[in-house]
Amino acid sequence: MIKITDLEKFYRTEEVETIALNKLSMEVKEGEFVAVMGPSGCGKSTLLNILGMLDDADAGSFVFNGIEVSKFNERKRADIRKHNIGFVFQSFNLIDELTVYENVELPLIYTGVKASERKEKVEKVLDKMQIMHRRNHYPQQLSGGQQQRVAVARAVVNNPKLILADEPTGNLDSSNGNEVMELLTDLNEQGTTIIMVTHSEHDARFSHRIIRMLDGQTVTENILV
Amino acid sequence: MFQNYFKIAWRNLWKHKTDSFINVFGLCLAFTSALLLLLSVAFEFSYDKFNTNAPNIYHTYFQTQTPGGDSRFSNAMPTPLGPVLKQNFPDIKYATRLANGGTWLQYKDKKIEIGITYTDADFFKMFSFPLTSGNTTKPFESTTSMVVNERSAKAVFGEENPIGKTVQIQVDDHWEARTVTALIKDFPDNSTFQYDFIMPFESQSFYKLVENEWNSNYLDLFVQLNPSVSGAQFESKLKPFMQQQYAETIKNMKRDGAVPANDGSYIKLLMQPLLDMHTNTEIAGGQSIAKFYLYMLMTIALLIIAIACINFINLSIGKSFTRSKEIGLRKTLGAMKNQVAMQFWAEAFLVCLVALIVSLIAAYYLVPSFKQLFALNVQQSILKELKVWLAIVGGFLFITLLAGGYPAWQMARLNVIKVLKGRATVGGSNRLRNALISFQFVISVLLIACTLITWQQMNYLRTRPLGYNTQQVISIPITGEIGKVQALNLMRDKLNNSPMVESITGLYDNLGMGTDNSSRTSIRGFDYKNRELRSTWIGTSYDVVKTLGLKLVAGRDFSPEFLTDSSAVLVNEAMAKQIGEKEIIGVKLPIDSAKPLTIIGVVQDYNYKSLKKKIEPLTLVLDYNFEPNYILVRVKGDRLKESMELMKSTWASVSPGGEFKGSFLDENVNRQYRREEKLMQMFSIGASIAIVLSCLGLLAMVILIISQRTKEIGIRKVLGASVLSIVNLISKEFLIMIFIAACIATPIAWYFMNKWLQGFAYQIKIQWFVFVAAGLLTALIAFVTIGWQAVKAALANPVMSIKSE
Repeated sequence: MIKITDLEKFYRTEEVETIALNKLSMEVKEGEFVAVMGPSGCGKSTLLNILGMLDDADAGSFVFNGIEVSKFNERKRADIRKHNIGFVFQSFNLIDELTVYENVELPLIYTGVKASERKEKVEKVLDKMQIMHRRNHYPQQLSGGQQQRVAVARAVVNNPKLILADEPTGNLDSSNGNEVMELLTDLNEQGTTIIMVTHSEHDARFSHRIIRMLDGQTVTENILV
Repeated sequence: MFQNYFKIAWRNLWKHKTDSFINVFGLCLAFTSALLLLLSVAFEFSYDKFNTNAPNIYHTYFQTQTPGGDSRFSNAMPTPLGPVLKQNFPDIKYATRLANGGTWLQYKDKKIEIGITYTDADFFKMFSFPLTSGNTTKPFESTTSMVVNERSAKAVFGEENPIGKTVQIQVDDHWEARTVTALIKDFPDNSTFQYDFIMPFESQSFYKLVENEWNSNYLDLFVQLNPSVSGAQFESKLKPFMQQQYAETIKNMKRDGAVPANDGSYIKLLMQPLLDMHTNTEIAGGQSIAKFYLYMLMTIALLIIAIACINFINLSIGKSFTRSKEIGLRKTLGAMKNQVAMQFWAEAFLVCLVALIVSLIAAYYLVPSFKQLFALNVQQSILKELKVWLAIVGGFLFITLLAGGYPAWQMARLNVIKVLKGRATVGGSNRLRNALISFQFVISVLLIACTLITWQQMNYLRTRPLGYNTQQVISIPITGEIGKVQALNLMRDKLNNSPMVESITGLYDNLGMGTDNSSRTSIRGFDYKNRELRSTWIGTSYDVVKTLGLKLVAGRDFSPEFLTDSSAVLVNEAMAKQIGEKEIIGVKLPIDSAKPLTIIGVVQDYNYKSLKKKIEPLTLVLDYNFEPNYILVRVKGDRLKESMELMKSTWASVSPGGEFKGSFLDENVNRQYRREEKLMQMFSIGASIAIVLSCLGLLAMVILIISQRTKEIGIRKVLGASVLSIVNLISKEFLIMIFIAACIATPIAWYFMNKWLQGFAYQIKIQWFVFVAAGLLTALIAFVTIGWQAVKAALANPVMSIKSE
């Protein structure tokens, strides 16, 4: 599903050039659950942003579903992104001004799903995440775990092939964290590919494979399954 | 403490340079334009106030009733009225008659054309125009006395002492001696009276003829009442006198079916306060400026300030978002509410102060060009007056308190716990902000609509056919020593054979406003078959129909071939209708019973006055009876520029000393709408400033909103929002506000413009699409302002914005 080869990414300030990704190569197959680990600043988030097509690489190749996307412009990337990829963030990133229902509905609006169909899909996913009863609440009125469940709901409402999760349990206590991890595992079992950046060995153990990174390169890979 | 406030304020301003710049620039623009406008208004309202007796001085005018039920006002008084009133009414402390004339003055080898004012001796006692040398107690020693202002004295006598000097002035066809008895200080700029040479009223050459003539009205009368009597009280005391003095006139008015006024009177003598003269255009002639325009200027100035203040308030409150953490911390560390408020107010004060200083300097240097642009009389010296300074400082403090104080107070009230949790918002919702922004848009739409309507009306005035040829006719004011009829005849002789000239005639009153800046009206009433007919009288010459391109409805033009034309007249259709005879040609008008005037032709109605007035009855008479003041030459259409040159050179040979002030009639026609043009300019400049300021505020607001919503925009983008949908997200709110603003502005603009248009006899209809256009234009400008920022935000990489926590 994903194949990247010799991917490079630099950040430049006036004096210093930082190498975020240094000729990184990796492959992720459809249906896999991959955890990416490593110390702060090793390039995990950069990698995730590039995989999510939020950012582009300076060099190297990125093939997504058999299409070379590294040279795509923003518009094309956005198009692939909104139909194929869902995001879950450490800080949930829900829009404060919108209700739970509206937050989850947003991706469907942007992909142009009809109103009646949207209602059905949103309700289905809210039900599945067990937050249906909170549909008319605003994010501030929910606990952290509930907020992250909304975020996961939002990420999967479009039935994406790939979910990118950036420390999804980082802001949660352990029981809420476990709940979210179980949600992700369920999704993976139903066929969704998941790539998750995490600091937690405990969370990483939910995945099939752990990629460890250091200084913009992969150092080891542990196969767990 | 205060030093600390200002130090921190300064640092904060410096840190947020863009915001500070928008604030200072916006305020400068607003302060400068408002200062200039308000100073001009202040100057116009200061007219004649320097006269210490001003509250008790009145300008008299008649109110007479017409058969149509209207009241007619006239400030032309008969010669004996002043002395008779003063004799009979002890309430009158002083009274002076005023009349103007012009002639030539000769001193040694100097010969100049001068304007003379004839007054009574009371003039010097009533008004505060100090006599500086000579006989300062009794300047009118005899009828040959003359008082000269300092500037004119210098022009005539140079460095010599003018007191006691004798000059020659031309009186009718001979020269007479006049002696300078006193010098008068130059008249202040804000004086209605601006006179160079002042002579006793009795020294007018025709004085003896009119001394006891009650039926010839031509002079202005000013009275100073005792402080114990008000103008209104005195007016009612005059009623019996008027009834007796004008018994005959009242009888005739009743016969003609005049409708009496509410109090049953037919003719009244009324008192116009001197202080009203400059701003009353209904009665006073001369240099008056309508209050309407002054209030309009003031309103524009205040609106501009309001817009700038709104920007200030909105930006301050908006910024408090980003500064709420600082406020919370300060409070946690023990700052009291008013200390926090003081700190924010200090910032506002600094910004306003910088803006004020820059504006004052700018205003001072812009006064001359501003004066020229708007033809307003503001002086740089007005900025040196204490009163003006007090007003400026007062206004400034008020603005800083309002614009700086309100946001400061709002911020100081923030709840500490909420702030530290990052959940505080200032001003509750955005309702206030949106209301203020909508208000700005109301002003913008309003001013744009006004600009468009005045422009349409001006365009209409300029292009409406007037009934005579404006493009090919040159009007030359008769200047110099030469006799008027003689000048006309000489021009005829010299130009008759020129291939460039089609025909020549003369006119008593110019068409439009010539470069000599004068216009005159002569209205005569006479009895015809026991009815009073009133008509405008214009002296003219042969070929008037041909030269002006008038259309004859019946009869013929004046012609030298008919000797009887010396007692012939042409009338317009309105006059013909008033006479009401079936066979109008040949009707004899009994102006003078010994020598009635015969109508030889009827011309189609044409606008011999500006389009502000309806076409009234008009009678054209030959120059034997009525001297022309203008020579009108119709030239061939193909060589207009050369024709003007030809006129100039010919005129130089006809009247060697007379200045050539010729102009084409179409220029004259446009010139008479100068005031309307100025109004239009004011509206359009006011509108531009309002728009620029509103957009500046909007820009700052949008930047702020975007910075607050960066994260939201980022999330939406990650979820697949397109650039368009994000631009829409940000702009929608503002576009709705503009729509509401347009709805509010429309009736206001319609009301005021309709009122303004009532001043024109010929007016456009206000069309609905003007308001739509004004709204759309505002929306477009606003959208460009917002859109640029919104697109920038929408294109930004969301990675940065969603990561920050």
